[in-house]
Amino acid sequence: MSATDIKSELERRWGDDPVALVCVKIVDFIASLPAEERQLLTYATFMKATNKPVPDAELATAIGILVNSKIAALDTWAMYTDELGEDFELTPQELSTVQANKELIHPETGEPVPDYENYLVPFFVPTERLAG
Amino acid sequence: MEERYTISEFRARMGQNTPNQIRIDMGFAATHEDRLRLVERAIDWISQELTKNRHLKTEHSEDELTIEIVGLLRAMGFEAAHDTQYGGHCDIIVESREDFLWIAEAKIDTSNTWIFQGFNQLDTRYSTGLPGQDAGEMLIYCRRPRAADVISSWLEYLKEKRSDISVSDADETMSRRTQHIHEGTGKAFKVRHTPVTLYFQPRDKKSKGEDEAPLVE
Repeated sequence: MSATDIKSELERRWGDDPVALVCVKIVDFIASLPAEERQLLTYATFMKATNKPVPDAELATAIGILVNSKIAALDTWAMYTDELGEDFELTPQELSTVQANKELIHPETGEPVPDYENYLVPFFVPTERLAG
Repeated sequence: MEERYTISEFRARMGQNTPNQIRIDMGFAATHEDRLRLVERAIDWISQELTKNRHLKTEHSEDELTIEIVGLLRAMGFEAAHDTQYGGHCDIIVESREDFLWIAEAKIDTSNTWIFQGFNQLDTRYSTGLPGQDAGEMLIYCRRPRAADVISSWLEYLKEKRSDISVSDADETMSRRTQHIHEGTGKAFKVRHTPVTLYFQPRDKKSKGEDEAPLVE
């Protein structure tokens, strides 16, 4: 699949819903990036792609559609930075488990991290559907 | 360097209202259990909103109520639809990644027989029972008083009709859960039964012709 295919599918599934246009802007922005810059997309990336100075419901909805609907154009990873400044990557599955259990266990100490959402930065990676 | 939002920061920027938090969590759902949890959370919020505005919905038909629910689901980013063909015309479907499919059948609480018709449609006509498609919902629009009793009565009726169905105990929520073996797959099929409270009989205004009660000196 390609960005063009993704956009066609967005139109088919979401029609003229304004959120579809936001999704298209994000897809176009990703497609315009060099390959090496596509692997660490953040909320701020998408705000830039859609000219939104602050995050809003439309942006969050668009991200949700691109990640979780049948469009499935993005996977969500996360970076956990502990108090010592050490970074740990969480895969989509690991992030899902953390959110479901509402608990993050430090990968090295084995201790629960209080208020873990303060230390998790989500980042988004194009799936194979958007890689073409 | 580009600003990076932690999950907390993004949540705070978006505001703590339930629809926005659901929208954010849609970005983290990676399993069918996550997706089901989100759909149910959304339905709970929508049900609450319909109840808040029940005074405006006294004449709404089943379809009108259902279409409103579908619109609110889509506004949160769920790929929801009404009257889609899945073995017939489903009231509400939500499709998601990796072939997740959730189907709801919606019925006004006219009678337990009427609701049972909807349950049979969900169980034997629309649902596939396949992995990621093994949970559904009965949405019961309660125009009668005491929605909790409506649900209890309905589930007692269902147990009489279907001895193969196990019913969960009531908890602090208004919903109840049942489970049975899906005839198609031989695997467990889970149904949540949720009342949408639409009973509206206010008694704060004087009726026409009613005399004012005199003050007692």
